Parts: sequence; C-alpha cells; structure tokens
Amino acid sequence: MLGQNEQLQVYQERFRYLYLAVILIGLLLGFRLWYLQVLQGDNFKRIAEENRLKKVIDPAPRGMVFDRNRKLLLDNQPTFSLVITPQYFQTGTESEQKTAIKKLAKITKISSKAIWKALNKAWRQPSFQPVLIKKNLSEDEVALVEMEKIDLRGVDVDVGIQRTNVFGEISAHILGYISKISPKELPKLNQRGRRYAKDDSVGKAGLEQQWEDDLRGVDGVSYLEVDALGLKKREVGQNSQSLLSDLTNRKPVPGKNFVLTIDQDLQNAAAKAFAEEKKTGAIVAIDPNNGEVLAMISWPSFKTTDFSIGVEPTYLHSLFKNENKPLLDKTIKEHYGPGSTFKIISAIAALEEGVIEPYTKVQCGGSFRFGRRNYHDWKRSGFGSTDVVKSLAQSVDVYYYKLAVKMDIDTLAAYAKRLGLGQKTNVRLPGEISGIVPNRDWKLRVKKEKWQKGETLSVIIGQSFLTATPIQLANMIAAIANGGILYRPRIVKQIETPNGEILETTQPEIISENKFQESTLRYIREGLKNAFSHKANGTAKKASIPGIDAAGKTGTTQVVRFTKETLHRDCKKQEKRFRHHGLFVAYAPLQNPKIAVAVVAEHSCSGSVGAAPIAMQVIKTYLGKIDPDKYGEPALAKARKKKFWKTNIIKPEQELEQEESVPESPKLEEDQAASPSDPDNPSALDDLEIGIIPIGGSDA
Amino acid sequence: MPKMMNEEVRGRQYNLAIIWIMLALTALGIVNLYSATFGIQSEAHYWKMQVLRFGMGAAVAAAIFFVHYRVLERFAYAAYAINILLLIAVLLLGRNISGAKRWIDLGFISLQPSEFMKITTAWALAKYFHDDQQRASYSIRTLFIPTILVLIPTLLVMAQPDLGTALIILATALVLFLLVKVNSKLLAAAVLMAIVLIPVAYKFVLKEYQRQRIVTFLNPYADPKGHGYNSIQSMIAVGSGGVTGKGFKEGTQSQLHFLPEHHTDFIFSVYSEEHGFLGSIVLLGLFVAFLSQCLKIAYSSNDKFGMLFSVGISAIFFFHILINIGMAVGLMPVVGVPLPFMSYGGSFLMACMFAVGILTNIANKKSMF
Repeated sequence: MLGQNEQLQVYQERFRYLYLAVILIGLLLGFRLWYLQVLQGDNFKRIAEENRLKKVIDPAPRGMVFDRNRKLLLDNQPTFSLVITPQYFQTGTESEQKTAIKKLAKITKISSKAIWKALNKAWRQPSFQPVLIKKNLSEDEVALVEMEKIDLRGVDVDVGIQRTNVFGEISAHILGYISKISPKELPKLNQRGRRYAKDDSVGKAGLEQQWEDDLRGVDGVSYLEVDALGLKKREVGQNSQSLLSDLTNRKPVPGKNFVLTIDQDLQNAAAKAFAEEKKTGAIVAIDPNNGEVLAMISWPSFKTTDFSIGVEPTYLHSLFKNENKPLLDKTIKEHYGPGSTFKIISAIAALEEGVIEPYTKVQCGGSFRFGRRNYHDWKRSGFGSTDVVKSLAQSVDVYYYKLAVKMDIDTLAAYAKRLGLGQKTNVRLPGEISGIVPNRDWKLRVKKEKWQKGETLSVIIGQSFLTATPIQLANMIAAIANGGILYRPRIVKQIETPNGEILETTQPEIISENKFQESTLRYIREGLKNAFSHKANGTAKKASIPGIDAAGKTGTTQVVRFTKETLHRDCKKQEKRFRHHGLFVAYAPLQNPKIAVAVVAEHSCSGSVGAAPIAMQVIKTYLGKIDPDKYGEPALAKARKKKFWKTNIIKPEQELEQEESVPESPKLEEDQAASPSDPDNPSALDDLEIGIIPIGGSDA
Repeated sequence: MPKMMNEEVRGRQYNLAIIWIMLALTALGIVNLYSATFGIQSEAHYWKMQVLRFGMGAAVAAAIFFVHYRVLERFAYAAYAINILLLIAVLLLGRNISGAKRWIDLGFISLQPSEFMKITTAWALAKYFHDDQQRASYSIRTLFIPTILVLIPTLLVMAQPDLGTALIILATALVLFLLVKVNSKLLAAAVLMAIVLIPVAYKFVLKEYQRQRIVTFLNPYADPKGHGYNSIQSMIAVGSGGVTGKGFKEGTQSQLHFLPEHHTDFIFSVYSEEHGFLGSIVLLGLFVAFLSQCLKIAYSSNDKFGMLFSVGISAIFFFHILINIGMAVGLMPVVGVPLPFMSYGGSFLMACMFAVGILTNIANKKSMF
C-alpha cells in the first residue's frame, strides 16, 4: 500500500507520456498544415478559384451569309423562351406558386398541369438549372411575362439565338442548318481541336456544315463570382486580381461572313416556278464563264430555322414521311437518268470521233432493229432524213441508235467523263454523289457481266445505267456554252471579316479544258438553238420566250420499267410516282452566254412542259437583271408583240395549231410524220419486248 | 508590481497563465466568428451572442474559482447524477434539431447537457479513484465501477445520437484508466476486445450515416459532391489559405459558403483560410501552450482528486482540439466536435470556461484558505 504522495509521484512520472502526446499531435497537425498550405497551397488556391468563379460563355455570333448582291440570307435572330428556376421559384409560398403558374398558363396557353409536370420532372436536375417551359415566345408573351415577372420569383425569359433563313424554305439545302450537338458527336468534334461545349450547335448540312470552322466564331468567356448555391455575387472585371492567369475574360470573336455566288432573285424565281405548279425536283444555274453557281434549288424544301432552336418532332416526322423527300438535296445528292439531254454528249462524241460529219443525213423511222430487238423512237412515225442539228432539235432517237452501232461504249463514256459526268463536280457542299457513267469496266466490276452492245443504244440516248446529278448536267451545258471548259462549280464568292474586310475571294478553277473542233461546237449549238425554234419544230419550242435567245435540250427519263399494262398508258394518266422525270438543260444568250441551267422536274412527264419553263423563268430573271436594255420587261414585251404579229397575222392558222398541239401525242403535229419508216422496222409496236426496251426520250 | 502586491497582501501566488491563453484564444475566436458569419443576415447575432456567453462563462468560472476546493470534491457524484438526469431529460423532452436530440430548453437558455457530461464524468472518476484505496494497478474487477460510471453517460449520449461526445467521454476515461494503470492482463484483454468489437460495433452499433463518414474519411473523393463534400471543401479552404492567408473576411471558401458548418465544426478552416499557415501555426501554438498549462496544473496538484480531474479536463480539451483540427485538415473523419473557444455554441463555451474555472481552482487551492 502506497501513501498518497508516493502514488502521486508514480502518476507524475507517467505525465511524460501525456506531454509527449500533446507535442506529437502538435507536430502532426503542424506538418499537415504545412503540407496543405505551403506545399499544396497553389493547387488548393486554384481549386478554390474554380469553386468561386463561374465561367460564363458569351456566345460568338455565327457568320452571316449574303447572296451575290449582298442580300442577307442567313441571320442570327433573338428567340425568347420561358424558363423557371425551381430553387428560386420555391422560395415563394405555396399559394404564390400556384397563382404564378396560373398566370403563366394564361399567358402561354399551356395548361397549369403541364407546367407543374415540367417543374416536378426537373426536381432531380443539378441545382439552379432553369427548366424550359415554352420556347419561341411571341413578342406579346414576352411583354406579358416581363410585366408580371416581379411577382413571379424564379421565372425568366431566356434569350437565345436562332439561325434564321431570311427567305423561309428557299435555299434550305445549300445553306443547310445548325442544330444541337448530340452527346455522341461531341468527342468527335473536339478531336479536331476546336472546343465545343455540350449545348453548342454545329452545322449539320449544306454550307453550315461545310464551312463550320469559318462560320463559327470563338465564344467569349467571362467569370462571375458565385457562392456555393450558384448565386451571382459580382462580376470579375479585367482589373480584379485573379489569382490565376488563365482565368482572364475574353471577348467573343464573331464568325466570318460569307458572300455567295448565288443570286437570291433567281432562287426566288426558281422556287416560285416549282411551287406554283406543284412541281418537285432540282435546278442548278451556273455562270458558264467562271463556274459560279447562280441558283441552286431542290424542291420541296424545309424550314431550316426550326432546326437551330430544336425542331418539332411532328414537323420532322412529316418531313421524313413526305414522299417528295424535302430533306434530300436533289441538286447534288440525287442522280437521274439524263435522258435525251445526254444526246448533246453523244453528238459531240460522234462528231469528234468522225463517226458522222455535221451534214451527214440519216434516214430515221419510228424504230430501229438491233439484234433481236426493236429500239423505238419516242415518235412512232419517225423523222425521216435527219442530220445532227435536227437530231438535237427534235431529239431523234433512231439517229442515235444508228450512231451507237458504230461507236464503242468506252469512247462514249470517255466523252461523258470529259464533260463532267460520273465524277463529283467538287462543289464545296457536303454529300455530293458522282452519278454513273457506265462502260465495259464498270459493268464487269459492278454487274459482273460483259457489256452488251444493245446497252450502248440505251446509253447513247441517256437511258440504262447512266445517271447524273443536276449539278453535273448544269456544268455540262455550261461547258457547251463556254466552248468546252469545265469549271469547278463555286457557291462561295467571298469570305469576309465581320467588319467587311475581305479575307478570301474564290477564283475560277478549271477542272478540264476540252478542245473540241470549232465545227462540232457550232453544229451542236445550232441544234440546241433550234430546239426552241418553231420553224425547226424544236422540242422546247413551247418553252421559248420571245426576246430571249437561248439554246437547250429537253429530256425525259423513266422512273420505273413499264409493264405491259402501264406501257401504253398516257404518262399523265399514270400514278404520279410512276411518271417520267422531265429534264431540261439550256444556256443563254447565244452570243457570250451568261447563264447555263439544268432542271429536273420529277414525275412531270415532259422536259418541255415540266422542266423547261422553270429553267426559262430563271434565265429570264437573270438576263433581265444583267442586261435590262435587251432583256428587261419592256424589251420582252416588244418581242412578244412582234411574235404575235408574226404568228397571227403574217403566218396563218396552222402555226397556231402547232402551238396548241398536245405534246403527248406528237405524231399528229409533224409534217415528217408522213415520211417513210425505217425499212428495218416495219411496225414499231409489233414485237415489243416488255421490260427490256428502253423508252426513248418522249420529248415535246 | 502586482505579484509583490499579491504576496504582500495575501501571501500567495496565483497561477493565471491559463487564463491569459484562454483570453487570447477567445479573442481570436470572436474575431474569427465575426468573419465567419459576416454576410449572414443576422451576422451581428453570432459574435455578439458569443461575447455574451463568454461573459456568462466568465462569471461561472469566477464562481468556481472561489468555491472551496473540498466542496468541488464532495460535490462530484452529485454533479454527475444531476448531469445524468439532464441527459435522460434531453432524451425524453429534448428539442429535436435535424435528427438529434441534444438540447434541453431551460426557459431562458437552451442547454446541451452532453457538453458538461464530459467534465462531470471525469469529475466522478477522479472522485472514485481518489476515494479508492491506493493500488499499483487496476484489474477488471477493481475497474468495474469506474467502467459503469463511464458507460452510462456514453450510452445516453450515443442515444441522442452524438457520436463525437461519446467518443470523447470514452477517450478521456481511457486516459484516466491508463494513468492510474490497468494491469497487463486487463490491458491485453482490452486490446483484444477492441480488435474484436470494433468491426462488430461498426456493423451493428453505428448508424448508416456514421459508417458513411468513416468510408468518406478513408476516401473523400469517392463522392466529392455528396458525403465527401465537407471534408474536401475544408481541405480546399485550409490549403488555399497558403502561407499568409487570404486576409480577414476574404476567405472565399467560407464567405461564399462552399465550406459547410463554417461557424461551428469547420471554424478552424475559416481561420486557416484567412490567416494562412503562419496564422494557423500561431493558433496551434496557443492550443499546445494551453494544453501544457492544463497538464502543468495537473502535475503540480497535491492530491489525487485534483490531479486526476485536471488530467481528465486536459484530455477533454486535447481530444476536442485533435479531432476538430484533424477533421479540418482531413486527418480525421467528419465528427461534429467543436473547437474550444473558437466554435460558435453556448453550452460548449460555457462548459470550457467552467472547466478552466475548475483548473484555476485546482491550481490555486494549495495556497488558499
């Protein structure tokens, strides 16, 4: 038993452990502080700054797009949407919230229930994220919400930017559209080194996609000091000392502006021509002197503006369901059999290769027998004696069948390629296809079969496997107009800074320069000119506009092979989707051509009635603009009057009848109808082999 | 020459160093609290309340100082019993604040009896060992009653639930047990028991959120926005203070409320963010000095009751400082334990000053009366 004092001494000895514990813990905490504050201090300072400073993106306006006359085509317009931030909204009492929602429901005409549902759904969202209630508020709605806003906590009008196609649906395909980046696309986009954020938009078609990097500017950045609830405390100015150099404010850099080669007046004229007659298809107009695309329309079209602010599912669905494919750019992404427009190339090939001379006359009946088959002319009664000029003006199939016998498919294909078919024109738009120019190799490669000579007879009149895009056809006829030079079509004329300083002016690019004989071009052009001639009974005579000197070629191309039942029916009486496409290529004026056009009018049965008027509207509009003295409305009116006198007074009745003659029954209208048929083909319709025989260009 | 005066007048020397350190800490605490609650709507409320409570605490401490030392000893079990009753009352009548019943409303003040329970437990243990016969070491049998004295308040506090306070009561008792020495058999048994019981307790005694805190402590970044948020934000606050700190009222982590509970549990982080490493070392130094003073008083006390009681109080302060600062710097799991003289909280400040009052009483008793 110890005394108390001894015991105390024993305890006192143990105090060294207690002191040791205090010192050790002091050291431990001290070292930890040294580690956190001295060693890791800068690191934690950065993290604290990131906590405190909220990055606010100041979006850069996207570059604007103008037509060649500086008419604004693509604009950035503000759009207003109603949003509610639940965390703020819920600071109000329950009855305040209820009346607020009722008011909003009345303003927006959305049911209170739907608004509550949207709010409740957002309950699990990150804090202080506004919930979208209604987008695209009208001005009245904005005014009403702004008026009531004081009473409605957490209710806001959010200002966004919508990319607006000033001309509605016109030019939708070339301009393209922007829309929100999908989560899948994001990593791919940022791979290219450009920084996109999750809610950014990106060009997804047309010009917007092709020139994304130039159109898109660089977003500005500023920093706000926020507290842990994300509430703004103050703006962090340029001068305020930020602990970190990389957190500096940056002004947005707007995207570059684009001036196109497109003439909006021509776009409007073309769209009007399609829309008024409820036609669908495509038109491409090119300046044959430099490859500038003057007009480019695919019809029907769609509202690109909607895509930039989130397209309504019902609208999108209707676009997908529409059998006329409004989303498809038919100018570069669809290919059609060129039909008789291909005869231009066939004639050039034959003349250049010496298969015929310009004055060579060929007897042309209603059909031509080759092998065991009869190849029919579109005009059953035949054309009689035909030279190359007449063959083009009246689109004589048998003339070309006979040439085909003497020509090799590879030669023909080579000429087609020299004039731009079978390869992309490389117009700078995404998704262009190349069309098909078949030859021996192609047949072996794709069809695993040998070339049949009979197929040459189909190809030479633009049928069979042969296809071309409208832009290729436009470029082809432009080359005929300018004497053989194939330019790369251009849609962008100039790229400028937002202040209007020119950054780049595109230059004409020659794809290939064809050296055709002078005589070849002369006779071809004569034939194309005569297509508009009443005297020469040209296939496009009904489309001719008095006062406008143009050269052109009609064509039709079948959509489906005909069965025995459908063959004999009149095209117009077919179900629409089985009707032929009408095609037309033309240039004007004859001397120093200024515009070359190709038109496809889908299921219109006829090149002259379906496609040619659209082309002529565009030509008329353009010539009237660039040379109003010669082609303006007064000059054309004078020409009309002259023509009227010529036809009605000087020349009597029968000319009139011709004008009125029904194009679908061309047999009735021609003098040559009486001329003898090809002796090889006594009867055109006797030995039809259904399903194999191509239908010739049933022009008129 | 106040010393001379004292000696001349009363003939004895007071040990008042602990008072000066406490005053320094309290001053820092109030200034820091002013910053921590700056910008809160009722900011004046906090630091003024703290000043008021300091005043009340000072009155209590002064009263204790003048109480006769023997009275302290005799009153030990009574204090313990009253406190136990108060704890039971809390469980029955207490105010429920965010899932815990810790406060009892006494009309003019709402009291947290568990803050005093730490002291009264040490008090009762000191009394028990003082009255017990002199032993070289304690066995499982001789330590039975002290164990019961510890377990009753521990379980009552855990029922609130208040894990931090329960842990401090246990740890304080453990320090006292070790000081009076347990025999090697019991020590070995206790270590073995701990090894077996800790996993069992983890699984069956701890509540889900308490387990989560331990998981979070081991890896706060597993859930940085959720369970790990407090710990991470506190480390960011402390670390971003750097060497010299961001300046008074300039701590972005605390002023912008990234730091949770910044006027109570994470008050050290506020201080550390604004005053940096240098300021933190000064504060840490003050705490070490304070603890040394506590131990010095214990060491120099001339009876067992005074020594054990003051060691118990030292241990309470020690564990509060260790757990609170350890938590702020990410060395301890997030357990709601306040920092003496710094954290906002009336009962705790009063309890601390009460404890200081007892220490000064013990320190000066030998020369009194």
